[in-house]
Amino acid sequence: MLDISHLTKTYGDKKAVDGLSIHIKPGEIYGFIGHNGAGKTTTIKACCGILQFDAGEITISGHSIKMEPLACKRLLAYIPDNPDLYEFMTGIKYLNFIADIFQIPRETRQERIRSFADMFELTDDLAQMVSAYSHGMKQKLAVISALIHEPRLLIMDEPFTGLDPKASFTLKQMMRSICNEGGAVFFSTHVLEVAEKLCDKVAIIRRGKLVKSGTMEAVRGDESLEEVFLELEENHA
Amino acid sequence: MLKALIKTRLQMAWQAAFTIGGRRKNRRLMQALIVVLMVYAAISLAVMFGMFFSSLVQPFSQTGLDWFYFALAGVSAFALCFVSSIFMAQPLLFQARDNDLLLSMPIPPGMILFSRMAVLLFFNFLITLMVLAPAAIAWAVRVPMRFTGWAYFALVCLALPFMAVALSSLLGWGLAVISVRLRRKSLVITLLSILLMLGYLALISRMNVILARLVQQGRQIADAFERVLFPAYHLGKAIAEGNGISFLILLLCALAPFAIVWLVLQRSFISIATSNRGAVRTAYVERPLKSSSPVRALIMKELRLFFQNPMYMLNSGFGLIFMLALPIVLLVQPDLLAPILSQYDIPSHLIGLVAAGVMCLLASTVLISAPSIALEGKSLWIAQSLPVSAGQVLLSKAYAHMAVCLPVVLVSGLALGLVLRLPALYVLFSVLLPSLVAALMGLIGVFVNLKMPKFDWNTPTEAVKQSASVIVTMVIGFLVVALPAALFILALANTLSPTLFLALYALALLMLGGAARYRLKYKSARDFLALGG
Repeated sequence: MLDISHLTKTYGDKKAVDGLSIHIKPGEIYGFIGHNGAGKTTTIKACCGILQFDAGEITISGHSIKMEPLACKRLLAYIPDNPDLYEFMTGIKYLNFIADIFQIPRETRQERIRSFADMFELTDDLAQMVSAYSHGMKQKLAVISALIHEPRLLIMDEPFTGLDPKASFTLKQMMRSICNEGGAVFFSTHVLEVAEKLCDKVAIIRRGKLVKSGTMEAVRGDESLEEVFLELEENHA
Repeated sequence: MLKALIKTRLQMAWQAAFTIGGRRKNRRLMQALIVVLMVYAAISLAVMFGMFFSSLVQPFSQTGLDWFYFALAGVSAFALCFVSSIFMAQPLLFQARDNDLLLSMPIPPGMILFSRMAVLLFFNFLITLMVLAPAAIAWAVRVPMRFTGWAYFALVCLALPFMAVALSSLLGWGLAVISVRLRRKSLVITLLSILLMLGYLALISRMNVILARLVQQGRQIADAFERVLFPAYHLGKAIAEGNGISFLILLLCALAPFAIVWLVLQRSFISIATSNRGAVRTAYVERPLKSSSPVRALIMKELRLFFQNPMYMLNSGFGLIFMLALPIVLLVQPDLLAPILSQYDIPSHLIGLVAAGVMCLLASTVLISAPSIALEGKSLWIAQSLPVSAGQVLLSKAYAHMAVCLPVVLVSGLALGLVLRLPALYVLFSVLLPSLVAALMGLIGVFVNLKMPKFDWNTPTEAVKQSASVIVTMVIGFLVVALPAALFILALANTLSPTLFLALYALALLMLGGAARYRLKYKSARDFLALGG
């Protein structure tokens, strides 16, 4: 579903991502773990086609993000760590705008918006301007807008930040549901318990380089993910 | 602490105007160009005021109305300060993005407010200098001015901005209070601002009449000034006569309102600055959703952004108000045109050419697309991550610019043709040419903003009013109209008929527009993606 091969991105003299390779198959929830500034967001943005990279290749369902960005973007949905949405729109207008871009039929979008807004308890606020939303409400709106076109690949950067427990639970269910239908989820997190419980596979990145990846069992062994992460941090310090 | 806050604010303003992306060499060149343009604009304004006041020196000095001359200069400076800063006051004082951050720090709200009012003071001081300095120089050239006069002139320049900032801050506060409570706040604020601006413009347009009346009835007007506008009277006395008491009265008149406004505003600063901007709650009722194509959706998004932000509308679309006002003014005051034509030796058969030229000039001042990429701000990721090409995103910004301009150009061009009774061909040119200029400006604005993006603005007004891309686009727009006009007047008037010239100009605009559209559609993807880092 998502193939990242030898991805390299440099900012000035600093290599933010250095030869990173990750392969995510359909049906997998893939966690991306690393300390602040490890290169997670850079990798995620490159996967979504919003950041140019220096070397390597990223393909989504066989489409190159460099050569066929629009084909890739039709398949994926991206939720950033900070949901800066169009503040001059109401929630419903924003969702309708996203639906227009993805050319979702009118009846379908109406039904999906109704369903997701109810699920994330945002229906009553859809007529409000986004500028009036709290951080959590914006995050919910970003999640709904990401799900509205039924993406095959969901890419998220710290998706649970700001979500209330119920919305977090609903999002986790949706993540699993996408995978059950043959899609995949790739997300970064600092909350190792979430990764441990939710992910089929994880990749641990440090200073732009992959230090460990694989199934949760293979990476963790008999230890907790937290212990593994801290050990890796110390070993590579 | 206060010094640090003021310094940060001024740095923000500096960066808003001079921070330019791109290669270092180009950046330096563009920064130098912007400095030159700003200096040019300041000098032009100063020369304009200098010419206005120099015509008043003799009649006023001969009739012993020295004080009235300076009082008039003071009132002009105050009015310009007020009009310039009222649009800036509300967003700067209450809508800055760092409100939450600063309020979370151990900084008294009054100090945050004062630091922002200090920035307004700084800009108003520069405006005051641009009006009062040429007035004083024009006076001193013909009438000897004592050292005390110059000293009080300098002190007045420092004092006057306090009065203007007090009033503009008070009105900015009023607008902020209204904004919190109103449902259609953008419309109300825009209408209020337009009314204010039109009032100022009406005053400027009647300057010749005012000047004549001032010269003829100087004594009576001065008496009225003395009775009604006593701060202006004391301002004049302070400079003209070196009167210390008058200066102290003026100082009191400037500082007291400033202090009162600051004290009043700081009490409500937290509640306004942290008020939920969409606080008027609307219940959601599900209605059938309308669908549209991706490009149409992008254009509608741009239009929504434009019509939701009064500062954006007023600063970028002001030429459109002039455009609509032009035929109305000529209809109401048909005598206005004849003296202008005779002043510039324009034969009556060229009136159609002039009409088309003026419409083009007005169309070139509309800068809706110039800050449109910068206004994406932190939400740029949305356009970049959606399955739409960079060309579609960029062109939608230009198309939104055209969607706002073209109906106004059509109505205004036709109305102008009717009012001036122009031949059909000139009516066509009065509509076609400004339409092409507007379309070209829409494309150029996006292109320039792509090369000079600025995303780290503190209020959207900074992106709209102070960014380099707006200034550069404005200059390009002026050149697009002024260069062909100069070429025709200086070299082609005797060889080309006006209609042939206009047809060739239309062709040139069409070709330039086509090239700009091609570039945005097919050659800008790399630059657009590079905006994200």
